[in-house]
Amino acid sequence: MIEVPAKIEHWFTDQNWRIRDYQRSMVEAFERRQNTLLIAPTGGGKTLAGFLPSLIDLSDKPDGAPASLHTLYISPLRALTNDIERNLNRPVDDLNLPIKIGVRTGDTKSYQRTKQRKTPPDILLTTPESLMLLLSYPDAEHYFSNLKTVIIDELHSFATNKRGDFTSLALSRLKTLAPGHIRFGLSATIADADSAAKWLGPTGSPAHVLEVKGDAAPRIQIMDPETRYPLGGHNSRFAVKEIYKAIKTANSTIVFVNTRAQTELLFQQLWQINDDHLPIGLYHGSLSRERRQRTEAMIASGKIRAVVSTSALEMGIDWGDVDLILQVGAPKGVSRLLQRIGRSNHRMDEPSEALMVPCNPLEAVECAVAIKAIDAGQRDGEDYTDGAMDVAVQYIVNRACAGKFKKRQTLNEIRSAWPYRNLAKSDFDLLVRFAEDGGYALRSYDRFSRLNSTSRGYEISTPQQARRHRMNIGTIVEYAKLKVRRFPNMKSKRGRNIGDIEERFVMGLAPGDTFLFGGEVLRYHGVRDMALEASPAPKRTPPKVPAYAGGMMPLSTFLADGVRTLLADSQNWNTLPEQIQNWLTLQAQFSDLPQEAGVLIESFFDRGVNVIVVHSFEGRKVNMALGLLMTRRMETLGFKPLTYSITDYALTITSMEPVEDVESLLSEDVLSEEYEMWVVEAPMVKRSFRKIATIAGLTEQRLPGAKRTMKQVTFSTDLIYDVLLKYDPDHILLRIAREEAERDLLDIPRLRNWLADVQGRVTHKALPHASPLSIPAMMQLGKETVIGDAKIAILERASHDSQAAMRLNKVQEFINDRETNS
Amino acid sequence: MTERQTLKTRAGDIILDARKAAFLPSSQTLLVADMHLEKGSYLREVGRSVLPAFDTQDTIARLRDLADAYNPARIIALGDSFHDIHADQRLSPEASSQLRAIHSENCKLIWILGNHDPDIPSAVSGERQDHVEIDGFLLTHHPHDHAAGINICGHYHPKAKIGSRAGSVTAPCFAISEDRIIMPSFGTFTGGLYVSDPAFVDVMPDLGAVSLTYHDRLFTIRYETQEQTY
Repeated sequence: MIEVPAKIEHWFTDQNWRIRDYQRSMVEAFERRQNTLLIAPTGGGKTLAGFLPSLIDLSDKPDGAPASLHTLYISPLRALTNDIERNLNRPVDDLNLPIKIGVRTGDTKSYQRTKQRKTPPDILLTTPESLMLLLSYPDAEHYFSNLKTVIIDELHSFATNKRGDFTSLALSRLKTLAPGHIRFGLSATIADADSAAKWLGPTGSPAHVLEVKGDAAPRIQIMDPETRYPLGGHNSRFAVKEIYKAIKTANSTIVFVNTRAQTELLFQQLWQINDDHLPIGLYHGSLSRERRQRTEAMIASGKIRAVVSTSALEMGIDWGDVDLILQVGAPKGVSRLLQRIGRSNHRMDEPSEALMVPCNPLEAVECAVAIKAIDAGQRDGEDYTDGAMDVAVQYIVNRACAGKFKKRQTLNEIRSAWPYRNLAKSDFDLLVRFAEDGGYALRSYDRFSRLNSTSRGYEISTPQQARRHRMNIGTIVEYAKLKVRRFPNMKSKRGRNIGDIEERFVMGLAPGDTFLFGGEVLRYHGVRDMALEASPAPKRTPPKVPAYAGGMMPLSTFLADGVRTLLADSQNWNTLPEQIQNWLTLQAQFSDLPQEAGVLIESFFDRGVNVIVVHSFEGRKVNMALGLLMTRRMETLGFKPLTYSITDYALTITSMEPVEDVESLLSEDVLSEEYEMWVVEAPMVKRSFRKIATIAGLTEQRLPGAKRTMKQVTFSTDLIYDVLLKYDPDHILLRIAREEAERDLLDIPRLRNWLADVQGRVTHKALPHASPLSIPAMMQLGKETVIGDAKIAILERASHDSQAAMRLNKVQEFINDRETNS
Repeated sequence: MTERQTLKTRAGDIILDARKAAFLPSSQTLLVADMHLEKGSYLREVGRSVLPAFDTQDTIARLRDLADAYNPARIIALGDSFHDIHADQRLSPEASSQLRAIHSENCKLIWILGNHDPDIPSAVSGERQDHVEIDGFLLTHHPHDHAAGINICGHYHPKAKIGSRAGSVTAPCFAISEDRIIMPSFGTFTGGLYVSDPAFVDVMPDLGAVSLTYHDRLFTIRYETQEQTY
């Protein structure tokens, strides 16, 4: 076993810690220059294991050695970097080690950035986006040249998405700049370690896997409230008293909810009954940096009893002595739930405590399934796909910002990132051409000419283009946002920024309206200088809730299958709260239970329309795709579909005419016939186009020198999509948008499998009214999507009604006239 | 097939066309309002949008389709035809020549000046007018009362939202009262003002009906109470 310098060993002993075997193994891996993926349960000292080799290597750095970057740490969350800095500085200060640690994220002030670029720290903590930005400068070659280690933390949380693609490209570039360095990946327990190891190692040489087992199984319970469970929706109001009670029994609690809007609501509800004035906080990504950092510090120092949070607090190394985790709402995935639960009792040998608060019956079932899976040591499968092309475009432009490049070399660099190992030369050429001039329809616009082709390679066309690119690095596309400026009262002139809010929501506000933000009810004054201005509203004003985008978390396939299995057999129900068992019994008596194989479809007549509920349990994407295809077929067959709405579990379609032969709507050929029609119109494709256009640099989220006084103009990418479809239908971005919509918004592959599975196994129940199982789906009504032709139907109905009324008026006029005349 | 509806007014018939245009049969006059040509390039110039909109091409193409369909003696644009006074610098030569082609011996182009275009680019042919009166119709950019006839104007880009249990539909519309018709904006790249907006209610407190244009269809709906249409 490898020797660790005595002073470092002692430091561990002084902390009442000991260096664990796998932490020593990482030191060995460093010595052997071996790329390594460390898989360990949350809270096992994983992050320290990643840094230990660097601390040792740097501890005997000679005085006066020139400053150079030794270790680069990449975290998906910027909150994490501040946290790690705090924790790393402890041994460094205690042992007086000659190590400088720097943080570089979007939150880093510009004077600090300048300093860091001049004199690099030994260890730099950063995010994928900030790393890519550093790589876009011509001095990157020099800056990273002495790099020894790259540590990628929480790898499991982003390796499978676009941000992972993005990071893998940055890693690939680093390999060219500093061929001698090694990669350490740190990950929570995952189902598919092999793929993660392939992702981490360059293409063709997967990283070595070091897996640590043996976390104490968490103790998880489902809350069984005295009040009745709501039958649908996601509001936790019914259980707020019991949530409060649970908070009181613990020293420190994190309350996880699934969306930002829910954090605001629950926070408000808790304070309404907070008679003991417990310090309860609020944390989510829309709050201002100052406010987030303040809350982080309060949690770390134990000054807060509970904090209501989104996934923003899911990761981190040390949140003080959190001893209880509350999960409000469905867990949506086993791995996610474990990650959240791991936030409590951050020591590997002790079990974590968690309490789950489902907000409707199916969420309760999902909770029970997740608990069972955790007990059995099971995890959600991960879904690795080929690297996204829009991200590759961004990388190509980024590469050009740093200096001239040759196509062949850059293609090799991209392919050595594992997600892009299969990138075709012809596609790469198209991407470069798009970066060069925007493609055929956009050629004549200077804006889209981002690269110049010279005899010595491609270069960025103008400094403005480089600037524009740097402001928009990243893969996270958000709705346009406005700052929220809070004034102490209506008359005050001095406001302060407290966070930001989606522009879409602001457009629905009129002066005087109230909304929840940052835990208080604010009254909207107006928009000025790109900021929403507001002041605290008088007490007891009912607020509108901010409509934060992107709140929906997808249900994992693994969990969806588990839910179906549990429902099918009443023998399994004993893990469910009694209320839920009764609800399921009622379902079995009134209609039928969904079976493990096949699909249950219920139909009934409700308030003037025919309703079909398909209990697919396949997640929102599949239900959405199925909704598009089934309604299209119903339209062809003359059933006059009106709307459809989706949940993770079911698809609900309303129509004018009743459908007798429901099974025929689910035949596999909907994927060929209706699908072709869908591809042409495709609202989904437009949606993914918007994101892709942003990531690929066709349009941007942030603009240099945008005038502050300018009226906000909401720009319609839909229009551009139509234009490209008309003038340049083969445009590379359109192709990417179609592919991505199929995969990410609709999950056509999963739908295809499911359709094949249910053939001949459709159970159709025609019912006198909605069943217990259908009620949660029915509660989505009002959030449904109106089908194309249905919009015409709505207008026709309104104009017919109106004409009928006019005819009646004419009768009245006629009688009036007759009476006057006679 | 595009839907048209004939509206009988005290000044005579007017045909509303679902393509957001109107036609006065007695004088063979085609009317469009608020084309906002070169708005796309304006937004790009001031940094608010970055994609080429092709909006001018599209707007002119639709105007030509209408001219072909009605074969009018004159086309009157009710103001705000160009988005800003520098629009001519960005107007492509193709677009100018297409506009010139519409203006001919048999079909006069008349530009009523609006707040966005107090001046019409010199490369563009056709008369410039503050207002035009034909038969009993007073054609203006801003609303202007006409004692005995009907005022047809633009400027406000009216749109309406029709709600129902199954969802709602928003579409540009003609806003119709006893003595005034406010035209929907013809431009491809223009927003709208809800007829329920206080600013619109101020202008047309006696709104009697809206005629919504949606997918080449026209839907005329009496405007009675806030509950039915908003």
